[in-house]
Amino acid sequence: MMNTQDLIRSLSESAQPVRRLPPPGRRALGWAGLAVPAVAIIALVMGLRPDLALRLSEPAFVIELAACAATAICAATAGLALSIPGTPRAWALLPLPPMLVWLGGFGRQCVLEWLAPQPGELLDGPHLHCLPDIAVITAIPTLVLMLMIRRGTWFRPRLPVMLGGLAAAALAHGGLSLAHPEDAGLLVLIVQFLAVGILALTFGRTPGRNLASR
Amino acid sequence: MDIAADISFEALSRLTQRKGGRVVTVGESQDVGAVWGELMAAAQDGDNAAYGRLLGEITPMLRRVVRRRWGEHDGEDIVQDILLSLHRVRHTYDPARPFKPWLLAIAQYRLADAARKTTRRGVHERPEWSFEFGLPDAAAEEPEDTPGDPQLLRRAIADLPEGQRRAVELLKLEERSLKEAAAETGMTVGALKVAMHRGLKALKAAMTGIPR
Repeated sequence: MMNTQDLIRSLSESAQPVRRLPPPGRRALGWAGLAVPAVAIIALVMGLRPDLALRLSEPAFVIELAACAATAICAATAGLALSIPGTPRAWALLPLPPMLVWLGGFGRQCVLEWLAPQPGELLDGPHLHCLPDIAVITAIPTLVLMLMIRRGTWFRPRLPVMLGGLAAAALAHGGLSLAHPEDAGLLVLIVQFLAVGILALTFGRTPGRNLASR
Repeated sequence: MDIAADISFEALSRLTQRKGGRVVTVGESQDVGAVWGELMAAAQDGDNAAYGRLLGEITPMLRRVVRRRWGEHDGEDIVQDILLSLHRVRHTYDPARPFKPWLLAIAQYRLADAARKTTRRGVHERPEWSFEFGLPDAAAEEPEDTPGDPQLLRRAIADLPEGQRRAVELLKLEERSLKEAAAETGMTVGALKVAMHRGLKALKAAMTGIPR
């Protein structure tokens, strides 16, 4: 075994200056600065929904959209914060309030459609034709955020990865609700959580040796 | 069984209240933390002397933390693992935040890993020194080429320059093909071969003590 004093000497002699990570809030805004335009461009390419002006005049739609954005920022901030050693786990609760508002919007719509005389589209089964659009619109926010989380430490990645997935899902849902006439939000969530759940379970169990040493 | 999963952060933090066998006041302890935070910030900016001083000063505390949880056995290995982890993630320290919780969280991760590894080893190891498997042949000659010290090898790999370290990790430890490793690192196959050759040479020198 190498002597600890020798190890300290070799580490301190070979240490290069490092670029500090900015605070998680600022990093989350940086992520949003990249991901929001990307999602907006993809939504524009898909074509905005014809009834967008009408929907934007409905307070419920606007509140849901704002809650989506707030969930995305809060979840990204929490995920990035939790990739820093010593951050209390309570940070994971940060996106909870806006998420409840956002998911509450679903619940409300489901109940309204259930009570309506005609069957609505939300309860009409998953809109599987939206799947490619969902994949495209979630890809960039997810990828960028995972890389940013990876820049922190990768000791216990499960929670940060899940929060990152939530952030990307919220943003993608916001983007899709501008483009798709049908409410594909539920499917976004299911697809995203499946993907992120698998990621989190794979990485979260026991990181590989090269990852564990980070 | 995850022995260390229940190590509470508070329990680790409490240990820092003892210094050189005496209990220091919270104020004193915070001062030490603030000084360490400043040293770490200087180290991030490339001040090697400050970094050496910091690592030297935190090591006794890390030993106490590890000994408390782990006992004397193999404790120094874990202390060194913590120091290496700190080195790898030193860019994540924010000088605006307290230093000790950051350091103790790294220590906690490494202690939990060590506990997990020990548990796993316990599950997979056969009780070879038993009549059931036959006693080892005491008259047999010791093999000349011993496997060596795995900890020393790990550290020697960690100390390699970035390109060589990646080459050794990908080609030897993960057993990837040259093509895969080239795609992952962005290096050419030729450059990878050279890095691999130099890396192995440096490792041999580090393990045998014979300079290249």
